Amino acid sequence: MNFFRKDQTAFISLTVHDLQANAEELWNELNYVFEGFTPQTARLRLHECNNISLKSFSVIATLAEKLKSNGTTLDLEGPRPLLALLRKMHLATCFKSLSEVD
Amino acid sequence: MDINYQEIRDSFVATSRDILQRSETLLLEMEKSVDANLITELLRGLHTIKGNAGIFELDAVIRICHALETRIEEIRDKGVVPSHDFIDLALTALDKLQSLIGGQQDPSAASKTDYEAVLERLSAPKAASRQATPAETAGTLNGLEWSKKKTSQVRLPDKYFELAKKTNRFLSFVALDLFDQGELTVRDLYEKLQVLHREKSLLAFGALPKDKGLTSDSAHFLPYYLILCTNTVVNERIAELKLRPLICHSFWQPGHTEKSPEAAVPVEPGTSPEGKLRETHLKVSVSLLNNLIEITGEIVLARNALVRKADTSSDQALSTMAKKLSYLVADLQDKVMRTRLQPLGILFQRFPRLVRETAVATGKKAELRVTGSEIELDKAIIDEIADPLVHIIRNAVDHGMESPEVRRRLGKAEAGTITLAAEMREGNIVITVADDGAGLDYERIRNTAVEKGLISRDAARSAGEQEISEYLFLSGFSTKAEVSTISGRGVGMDVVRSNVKSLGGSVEISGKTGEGTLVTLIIPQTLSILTCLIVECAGFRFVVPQQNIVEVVKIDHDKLKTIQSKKAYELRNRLLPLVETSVLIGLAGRSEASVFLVLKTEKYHFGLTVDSILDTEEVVVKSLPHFNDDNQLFAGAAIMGDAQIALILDAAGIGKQANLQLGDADRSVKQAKLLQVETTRHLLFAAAGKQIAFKIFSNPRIERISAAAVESVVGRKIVNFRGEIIPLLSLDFLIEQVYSADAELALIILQSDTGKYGILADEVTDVISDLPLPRRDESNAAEIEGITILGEATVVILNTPYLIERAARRNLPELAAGARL
Repeated sequence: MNFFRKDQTAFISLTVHDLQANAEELWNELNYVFEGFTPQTARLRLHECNNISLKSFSVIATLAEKLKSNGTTLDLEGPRPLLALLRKMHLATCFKSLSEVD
Repeated sequence: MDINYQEIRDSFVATSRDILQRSETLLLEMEKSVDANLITELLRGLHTIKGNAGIFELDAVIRICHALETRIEEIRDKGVVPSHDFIDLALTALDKLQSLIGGQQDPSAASKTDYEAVLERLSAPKAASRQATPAETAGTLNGLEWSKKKTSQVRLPDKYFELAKKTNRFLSFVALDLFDQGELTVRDLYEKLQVLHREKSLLAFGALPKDKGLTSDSAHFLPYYLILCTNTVVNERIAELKLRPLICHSFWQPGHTEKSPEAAVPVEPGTSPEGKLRETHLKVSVSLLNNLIEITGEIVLARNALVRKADTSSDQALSTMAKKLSYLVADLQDKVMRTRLQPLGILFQRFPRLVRETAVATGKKAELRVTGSEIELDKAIIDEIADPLVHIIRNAVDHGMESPEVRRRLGKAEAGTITLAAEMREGNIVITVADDGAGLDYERIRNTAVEKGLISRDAARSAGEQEISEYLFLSGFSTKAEVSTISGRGVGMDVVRSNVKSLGGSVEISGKTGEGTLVTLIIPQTLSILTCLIVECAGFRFVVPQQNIVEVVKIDHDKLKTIQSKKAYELRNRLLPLVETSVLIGLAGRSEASVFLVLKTEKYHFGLTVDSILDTEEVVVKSLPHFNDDNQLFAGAAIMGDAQIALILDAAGIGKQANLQLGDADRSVKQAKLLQVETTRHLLFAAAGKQIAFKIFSNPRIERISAAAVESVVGRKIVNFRGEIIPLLSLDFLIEQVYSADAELALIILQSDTGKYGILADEVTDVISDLPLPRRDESNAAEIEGITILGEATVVILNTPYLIERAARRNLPELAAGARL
């Protein structure tokens, strides 16, 4: 997992490898990004993931929910096939926006 | 697009009224038992009103709804039957809501409505009760249990229920925790949803907002819902798909009642993949429907005119078109008429509360049972009969029911039963209100009517029970000594009758002392278009509704009779009272009637003579002003196919006007049994050299006896016949009957209401069907009905009813009864 904080935005990128990790480990790592830092926006990019486990997705969605309660919005960036699936399954509502990346 | 706020507001008022009406029924049912479905439905109704009221910024409505919801939720959580006081309070709150929402159309009314008191009462015990709410008490329910409880209250749209019912499938709500689906991926889940979608089981799905009440002990809990309509039980289907459900709620199962009939959706709009589902019901204003009916009426008239024209035309194509149009118009008319029909349940659901409140106010206990709620009636009629039924039901509790103590003493159940029933009978709707209370006290009614000067003492004295019960409909009649808010002013039943009468209906009351009272309302099903028979009389056309016509009979003048100066017709061995239309209406150019219509209403059964039958036609009823209520022969006027107007004869009005008394049909039938044999058959016998006859009124028995069997007891002659004493009718006024002891005689035994009587004859000669009309002189003795000539013989016709009556008066009681030796 890579991340950096700039101004009022947190940038996070996850690879397939990160998403295969234990859910608790992923949760802890993601939360680490926001320790002592409450940005206005967080942008989470999923690299080369046309599909992810429901467990991992739940962790990301739960994070979005948690951030929202603190006033931070989470934008999800990912490959078109994955985002298309999320939209079709009415899961896009968990995030502020979905953005397609190559 | 312009938004018509007035329409939206009207719709809000109409919807809220329906919901409040239903809520009232639900509250009353809640008082009897705790049913989660009742509470859920009630909460949904209030929630809908609250939501809608927000659009119009009706703060008072929102606050009352909210407070009431809170109290009802407390009751649901406690799982107890709400107290009597709470039901009272809730009903008051509903009234207040009704008043506020009704007043919403009239701002001044809203401002006058004082709702703070209700709000205060609703809010008062809130804090204390809320402490007891288990869901809000930490640790009493875990997250899953709480989630199950919350999701059981999810409201599904009506269209889902309709689909499930139509396809006979299971309608279910399933919640999944996406975190708890094992190794499944997003794509795996998508494919499973695709499977469900392809089999048309998937109605809606999506992430479930956590603020909808779902919680979990899991940190990464991600709730996701599916609304499914499946062929099998949902758990099985979900298991087949290898999904792990968190919660499953079945909302409808084939062969079961629905769990939640109403709907507000927990899903975002547009998320249903079942795109073909459409709303199946619309709310339409009554005035629009009335316009539609009026236009249909005009179309019917135009159709009639066209059909008439086509009938006389040689144009085959025109005839065919006219016929086709006729069928289509008939279909259109049927459908349009149905749009105004409403189930009586809409009206009946008001009455449980009425009974409850009247019973409480009068210190009585009463329960209402309702049948026939599904019967449909024109909305205008339902509106008109609402007030009469309120009067009748209130009377049933206030006047009819005894107090619980008295009922207990009489061996009755403490709570009285009032049965409100509706049924279709001969084109009419018959609504009955029966109670098992004290019944009618005829003596008291008679005395009250006289005391209040409503009826003369003489008239009251000679009145029968049926007539006495009619006094209840006199204006100003009340047996109540004190005027209360419920009754006692004497303006009830006469208003009932006038309202029902204005609909072309009738109302009757009957009952036995101590056994309860029965009020019967007979109301025509529709007021607008009637299928009728067109008849002619003295050059005028009249219309007779077909629903009253039993048959049409060609007059055989030999069968016309006059009984007590009234005309009657002998129809299949029964005498039917005949009413001559021309005489009744007072038509100038009277003519000889060739046919009569046998008309039947709930009260009357009689023949109506007319000159000829012209046609049948569907006519549009146009009401007539009520010039004189006592002379109501016409139910209205009809515009005929040739654009002429004809009056519609009112069978019930004619029966009344012709002075066919209540129950005349029955009485005339009984009389007919007596008279039809009297007039047609005579028994002829010889005694002391004379030919004597009498009208047969019951089948006489003829036995051979020895003259020795005749005895004389206390100056009366009797016959000891097979151990039974038969008093003999003395013919001393006519002949001297002296027989030797060994003579063999004929004993004619007559059966009457007062017992058996005998006539001694030398021999019975014949039974004659058409004895020439007897001649009767004033000089004839009362015992003789007349004298006639048969062949060359003079026949004396006995007045046997008189002889029997005289014998009964003179007889020893034990002899009159036909005592056994």
